[in-house]
Amino acid sequence: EKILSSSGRGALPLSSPSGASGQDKDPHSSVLTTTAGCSSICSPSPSPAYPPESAGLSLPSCSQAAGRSGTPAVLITITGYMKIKKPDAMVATGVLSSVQNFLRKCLIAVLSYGPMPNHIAFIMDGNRRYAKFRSIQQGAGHRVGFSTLISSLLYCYEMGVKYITVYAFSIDNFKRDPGEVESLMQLMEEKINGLLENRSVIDEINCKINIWGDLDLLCEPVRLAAQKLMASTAGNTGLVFSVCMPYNSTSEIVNAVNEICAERREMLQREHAGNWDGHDANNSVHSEISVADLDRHMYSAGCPDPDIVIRTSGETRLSNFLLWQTTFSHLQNPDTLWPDFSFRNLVCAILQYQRAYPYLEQNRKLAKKQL
Amino acid sequence: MSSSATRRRSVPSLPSPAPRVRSGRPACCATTQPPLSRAVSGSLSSSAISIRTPSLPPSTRSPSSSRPNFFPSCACALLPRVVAAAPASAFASGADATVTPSGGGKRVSTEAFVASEASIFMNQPRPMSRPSIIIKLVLGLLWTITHLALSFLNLWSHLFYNLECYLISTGLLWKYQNLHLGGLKYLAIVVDSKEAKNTAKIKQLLFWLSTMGVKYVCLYDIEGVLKKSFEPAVNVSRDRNAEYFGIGANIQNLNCGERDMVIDCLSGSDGKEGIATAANFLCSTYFNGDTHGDGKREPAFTEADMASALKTVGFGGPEPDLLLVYGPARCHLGFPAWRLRHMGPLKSMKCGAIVKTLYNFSKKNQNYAWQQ
Repeated sequence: EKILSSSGRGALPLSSPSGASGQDKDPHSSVLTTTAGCSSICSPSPSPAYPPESAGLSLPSCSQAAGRSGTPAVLITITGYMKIKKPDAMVATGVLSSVQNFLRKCLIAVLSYGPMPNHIAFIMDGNRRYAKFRSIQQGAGHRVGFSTLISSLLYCYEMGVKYITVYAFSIDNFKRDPGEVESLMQLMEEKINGLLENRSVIDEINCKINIWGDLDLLCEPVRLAAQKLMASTAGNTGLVFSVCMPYNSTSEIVNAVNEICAERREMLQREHAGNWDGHDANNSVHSEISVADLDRHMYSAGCPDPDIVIRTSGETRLSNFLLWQTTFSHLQNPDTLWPDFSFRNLVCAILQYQRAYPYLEQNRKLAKKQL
Repeated sequence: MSSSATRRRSVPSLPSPAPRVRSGRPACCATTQPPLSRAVSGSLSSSAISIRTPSLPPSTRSPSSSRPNFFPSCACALLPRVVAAAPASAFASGADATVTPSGGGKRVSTEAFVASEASIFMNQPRPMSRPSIIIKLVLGLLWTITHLALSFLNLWSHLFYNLECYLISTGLLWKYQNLHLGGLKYLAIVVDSKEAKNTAKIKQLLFWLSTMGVKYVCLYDIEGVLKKSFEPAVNVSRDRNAEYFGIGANIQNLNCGERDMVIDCLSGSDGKEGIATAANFLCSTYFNGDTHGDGKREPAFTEADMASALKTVGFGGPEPDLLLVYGPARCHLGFPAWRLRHMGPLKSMKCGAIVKTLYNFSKKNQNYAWQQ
């Protein structure tokens, strides 16, 4: 008996930013559109070739009894560990998954004793390499990556991380093969629309979705869908999920400068229109632009700086991601590929962060004192 | 966060159903989870797949600001979750009298209740019941044990690393002998400010780098210690080097035998503040272009404009091929954003460590070149 039926809605390929050099070993351009759209995630599982997680606390496999154990059903449905099981096996799996859930909660409780990050940023890298290693299609690699994203999001949510940012698509990725970019855009649109239709799940976890980036570079339908999604979740006050697409840190900074200039021009125009004695206005308009002014005009205004930036697959490039905001962020480069990123990896990341926390906090305080 | 703050202020203290949860079971026991509330329809099979009522993380959580000491009682972060789970279950059973019946108000009041409970818990000292103290102690013990184990493992890997570096520096490992730094033209090192005060060590590092053939080094520390210690000896050379690289005044040519190495010292003010200065420059060019202020075109600066503005105001410079971080944690500490690309670790300032890191970088670089 099939546990999950196929809805025909593929999970979205995830785009990780490639360097401008476009190397093959590079992060892959796939596109993430939605995260909290859990109902749209109850879509075809990755291919059966996707191996189960090796270590103990793996993703719970799908089980009908999962509801009793209190696991969020989304975790169950989004598993990367999809099997076609007989009813007896399913019951056994139900017990196993509740044990797993219990262990996971205990581990989260232990971790929470120390400082927990408030904001984690992911650079999702390694989808295409994953597909190559397992000799499956590239699209399937992206799908697995997408489900990994959702499960990571939910694990973070369980741990109490309030802000999550992912690097979905880099502006440099537009330089790639036009066919690939086109297909990614179509998938993006499909996923965002899917989310807009199934609002129940977003509302359930009270997720606010931001899409950071230069949306004018996106094609019309995708842009409209993205704006609609942001508007519809703007009132949510729970988890804040930010998708960076298409995004470049340098273009974000330039965009902030442009906005400041436009704002000051408007102020000047208003003063000229309303009050011909505009000396004071000139003073304020021509006051120095400060770092705080730029902070206010960044896409990430209102969100705290990331505490951890995780780039999977062992690459050490920063790829122009959140360079302004990551002054005191702990940069991590685990060797696992993004589709293999599991709860265990997340726990290791947080443990490393907890070790580095005193140093980072000290530096942060010193910097604040100097301001 | 401000909305949660207003919620905190406005919601009155509500009777806590928490003792129901604390009465005997450990907080993390899965069986205390609230019953499921809804079924998710869609493409799922029709059997009981449902989403539990989310237990909202405490809204007052913030790892840095609200904590007086480093290892605060973060276990209290756990208990609001328990508290949050409890009202959710009370809610589902309809026993909570404070819940408004309307569907739209339900979530709001749950959140408000959770926020209030969390705030009550965090802000007011409460007499802790014995089970919760015991839980907290157990969690603390487990956490400390976990970190001790991690430190122990790190110690071993650190020992091996140091041994390898020692062997490299004595020249026993042949593969590190001929280091081809073809791809590495510009190296940047982020130094922790405390380490930067040890000028002798920095000078030795620079010496090693010059013997390895690195031509251009950029040193960065957030407080500006390096700038101060190297500034008096600055021999500003605005010759072809400076023009080629387009950099400002902090250049020092280190003559080491026949190998010249150019050193650039940056501090925290070259990062964000440098960008703010360049932004000012761009803004002033925008406004000075048209004296009236009406009918101006929209400001449309590009990254290239920003880069040239940075150069003009003296914060420009070439992009380093490799950024090494020397310090307790991997953090770029505000290195100028327009120059950040590759990053690599540098755990210690030993000669062998540098060689190893540069070797790894050159190997990676060769792979990239091959792929292209």
